[in-house]
Amino acid sequence: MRKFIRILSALTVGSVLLAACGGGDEPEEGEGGTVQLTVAEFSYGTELPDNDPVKAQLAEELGVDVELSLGVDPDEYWGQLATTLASGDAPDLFFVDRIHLHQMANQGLLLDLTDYIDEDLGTFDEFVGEDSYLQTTINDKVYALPKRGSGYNPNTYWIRKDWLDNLNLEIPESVDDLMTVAKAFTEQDPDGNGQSDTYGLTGATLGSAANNQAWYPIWGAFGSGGPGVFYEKNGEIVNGFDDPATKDALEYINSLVGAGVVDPDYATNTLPLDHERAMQGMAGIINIEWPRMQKPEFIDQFEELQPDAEWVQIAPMAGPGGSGAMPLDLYTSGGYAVPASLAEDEEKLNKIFELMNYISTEDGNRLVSYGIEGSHFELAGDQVTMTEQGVAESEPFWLYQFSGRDEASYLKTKFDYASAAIDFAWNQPTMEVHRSLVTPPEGYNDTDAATYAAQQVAQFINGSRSLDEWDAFVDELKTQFGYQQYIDAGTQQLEDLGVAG
Amino acid sequence: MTGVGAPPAPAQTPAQAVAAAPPAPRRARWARAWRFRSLYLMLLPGLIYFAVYKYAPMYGVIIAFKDYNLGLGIVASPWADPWFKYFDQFFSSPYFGQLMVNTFLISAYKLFWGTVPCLVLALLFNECRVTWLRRWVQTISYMPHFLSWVIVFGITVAFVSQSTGLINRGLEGLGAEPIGFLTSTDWFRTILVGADTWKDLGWGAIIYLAAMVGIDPERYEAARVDGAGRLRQIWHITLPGIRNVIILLFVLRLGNILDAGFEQVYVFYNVQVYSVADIIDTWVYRVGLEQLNFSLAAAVGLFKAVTGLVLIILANRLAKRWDGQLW
Amino acid sequence: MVTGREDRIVNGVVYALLLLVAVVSVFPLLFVLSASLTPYSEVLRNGGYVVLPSEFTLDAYRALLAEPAIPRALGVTVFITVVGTAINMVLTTLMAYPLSRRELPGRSAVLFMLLFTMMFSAGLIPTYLIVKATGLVDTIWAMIIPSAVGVFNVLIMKTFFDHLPQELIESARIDGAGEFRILVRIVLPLARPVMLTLGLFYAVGHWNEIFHAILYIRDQDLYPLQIVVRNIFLRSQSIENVDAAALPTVTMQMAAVVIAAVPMIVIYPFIQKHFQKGVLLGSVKS
Repeated sequence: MRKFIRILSALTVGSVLLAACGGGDEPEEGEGGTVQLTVAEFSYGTELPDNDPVKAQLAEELGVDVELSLGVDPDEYWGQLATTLASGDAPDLFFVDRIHLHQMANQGLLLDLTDYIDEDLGTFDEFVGEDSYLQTTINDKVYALPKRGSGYNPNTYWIRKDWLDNLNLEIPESVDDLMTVAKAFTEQDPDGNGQSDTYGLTGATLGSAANNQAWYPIWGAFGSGGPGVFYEKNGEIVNGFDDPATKDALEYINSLVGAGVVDPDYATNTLPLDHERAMQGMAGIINIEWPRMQKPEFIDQFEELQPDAEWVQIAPMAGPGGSGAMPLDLYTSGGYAVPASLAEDEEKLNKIFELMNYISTEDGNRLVSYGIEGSHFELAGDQVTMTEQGVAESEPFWLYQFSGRDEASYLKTKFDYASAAIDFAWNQPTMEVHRSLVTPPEGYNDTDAATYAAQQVAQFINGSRSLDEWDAFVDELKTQFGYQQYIDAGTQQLEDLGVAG
Repeated sequence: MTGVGAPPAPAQTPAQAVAAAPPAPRRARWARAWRFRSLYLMLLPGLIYFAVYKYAPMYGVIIAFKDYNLGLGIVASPWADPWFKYFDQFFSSPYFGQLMVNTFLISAYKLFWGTVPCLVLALLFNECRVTWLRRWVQTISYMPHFLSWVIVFGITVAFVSQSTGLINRGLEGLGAEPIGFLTSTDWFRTILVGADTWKDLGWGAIIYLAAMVGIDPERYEAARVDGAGRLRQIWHITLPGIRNVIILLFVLRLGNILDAGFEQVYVFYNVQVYSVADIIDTWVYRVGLEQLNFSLAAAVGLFKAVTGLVLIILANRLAKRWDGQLW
Repeated sequence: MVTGREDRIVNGVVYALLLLVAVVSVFPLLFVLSASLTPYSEVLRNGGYVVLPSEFTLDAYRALLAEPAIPRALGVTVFITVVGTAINMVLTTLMAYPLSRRELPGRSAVLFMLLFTMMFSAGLIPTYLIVKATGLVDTIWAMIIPSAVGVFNVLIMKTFFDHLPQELIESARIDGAGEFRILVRIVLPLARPVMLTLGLFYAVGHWNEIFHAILYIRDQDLYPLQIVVRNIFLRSQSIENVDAAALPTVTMQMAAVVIAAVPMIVIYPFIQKHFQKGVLLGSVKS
């Protein structure tokens, strides 16, 4: 025991020394006219390298020392941000989505940036485009510098082409085809292993939300955008719960589940368990974003397991409601807000604008997208080619893409091997739906309503509540949970923003 | 301490008798306290800690009655109108009843299944004469405590998943229908509590075991001479010997009866079992923190605290009967 | 003696139940251990559950320990565990001993005051403000000082002290020993099992530290082990981030879990030695 303690204390002393060394080389104060800017955002676990080339380049180019303060996951980030705001340690620039933007603007925490846009942010303004401001505008005032959205949905259904071939089936184009194929995948032993161990379709829940990943490509077939979202139909804004098409779609989904062709664990799978199951050969159809099916680090894990697997993308299902479309919410990218406390700090504000403009120029955006020319990428005309070093090191650079990026060329440059899949996802028919632009009205408890709706929709899907009661359900939702207020407010807001209706 | 005029406690030492005896006018009381100055000195660092890190920030509970504005700060934020606005938001939620029932039930099940099996395991360790067996089982049963709920959930899924779980494979082998344990409102709480028991079985036994070690071996010797068997020794010596620890742990857990284990439920539940799984803390998390509604979180926290405090005070009264009171 | 038969039955039942506990506990753990030693495809081929891996590789461990983040975080965690537990134990003992003295005036009030903080916690933001005001934010002490004393542990220690043989303490007092002397020379040796238990409780608490780090630590160099392990998990689950490269495989995730747990598991047998019937008496007599 004593010896053990001695080892521990040796380690301890070592770690103190290490910590001391680590702390030493941090330039706290800006030197030689450098301005330090703290930027808070979430990282999904991406870690900054010790010698950060983008940071260094920004310092050289603009005399700005960008210090990123990263929250690992969104929930954690909001808590951290709230504490820093409350304690007067607000970062100089911080990521916000629309709901939080709304609250923070109402509490007077954010600097009104409207006037600066035209005067100081010309390059940025041009880069992000007018539509982006919808996310960060409240009562005609811009409270955050919007991030340019990606403008596409990376998800599609992927299907096992080799299974289709084994069973002499065609790629499904309509919801009826989908049912046929899913049944065949479940019942006719598509992998020929003599066991009944496959399903048509797998899925996963998206956090605690009502919607299951599995159904997205189906709603459009019935002309619905999905339960709970707003979309335009016949020139009017409707909410999914008010649209009979949603009920039709649920009826169909219920028949899929009832036929036993859906992975029975679809409701408890969390992302990315559905992916794992598909790659294991348990299911032949999955709705998933292309990186999971194309990037080598994912493929490598599973290649050995199902060497014959040939996955192909398929377009959204056609059905009674039309030729099919993937629901797409264009306004989820958020933006970066400046705390009200910086109102008088000309120097910092100017640096922020300079930074935002710079990363919106061609050169600057290349820097935050691909890294340093010559070491991370080569430039020939407009054509960017990643070097080996670039491929290896460029992962964390996206953390500096505060104004966004040119998505299409970015993806094709960095993931050129997946160009075909990217194009497919990019070009699939979509249907614009709105959720992120809508702010719940005061006094309405969005969580309770969402909980109730999610529970009931789950029951309609698994058949424990009959869809005959759909109207009764919508009525309960509107009267007992005040959902009508949400519909009214949402419709009004979307009309005011001029995005639909 | 009940102080003046209290009947002398059975184990009272001469010093205690002296200390408690004289009816104390104010000066005498100070004089008496002065005699314990070295004990107060010992308490001082801890008390400073509690004053600074626990009591000083407690003024923050007033945000339960305010429309908390991050920019204005706790003191300057306007009072909520009406003052019970955030309490009302909780009490008037259509889910209030369900949340209370779920929280209470899950918590009560955990209270039982997180106590009795640990106690039994500690008894088994205490009775085990084979040292290697005891050591190994002790270490093995202690290990699951170090797995996070995410991992425990992964392991649980490997056992109970409807399509791939080992249990359902077994059921299918027997010709029975597979059961969706994690989506079934009949099974979910059982799985939840079972996983909780599994995770902390060996961990929870440690404290009881430590208490058993403190029992004077001479008492067992005396009982053996009287012809008491092992079971009677357990019943008459071991269990009474750790009675106060059992009472203490029970009372403390009772005070936290409205904490049903947020982290675990949050990882385990899904929309299909909300009706049996959604607890106060998961609800507050969804409503309050996702929207930075700190006032609501504070109001619910206050409600839980008051409930817990009332329960603890009642339980402490009851514990006095067995001389196991906390204060 | 007549108890011979009962003895055998009790022994039989005890051994059987302990073996059952061992089996129930160990199988799920093998899941984690084998998953950390086997390529994940191998795990999946076996339906997500491998008890004894057929392919065996330490690659995941090598890869993790080669990253600077893990050894650095291990250093941080060892520091907060050792220093934190030392501070915890000193402060807790200094509180529990006076509070175990029934004749101490004001004892009930102090006990109630402690208990009160178990129920009423001040909330995220006010606590953050205090931690900031005391200058701890973004220092290693933010993971030590704000949890310097646990009420639960004070109460447990006090309950154990309550039951120590009062005659020994009394005779020491008559011999003129001061309170500190009595505490160090008599009470502590008598209370060894509970001191070890609470030391373990505190140490494990610090070892699993994640809460304070999330709130108070921004500097990556100060991340404790559990934060790093958790980030490995989050990285592998993030779907929003197209750029996430070289995602940690399940094998690596499980290896991280094992690395993070092993040190605390290894120390346990050292503590167990003191949990045997009768060991205490020996120590008192000697």
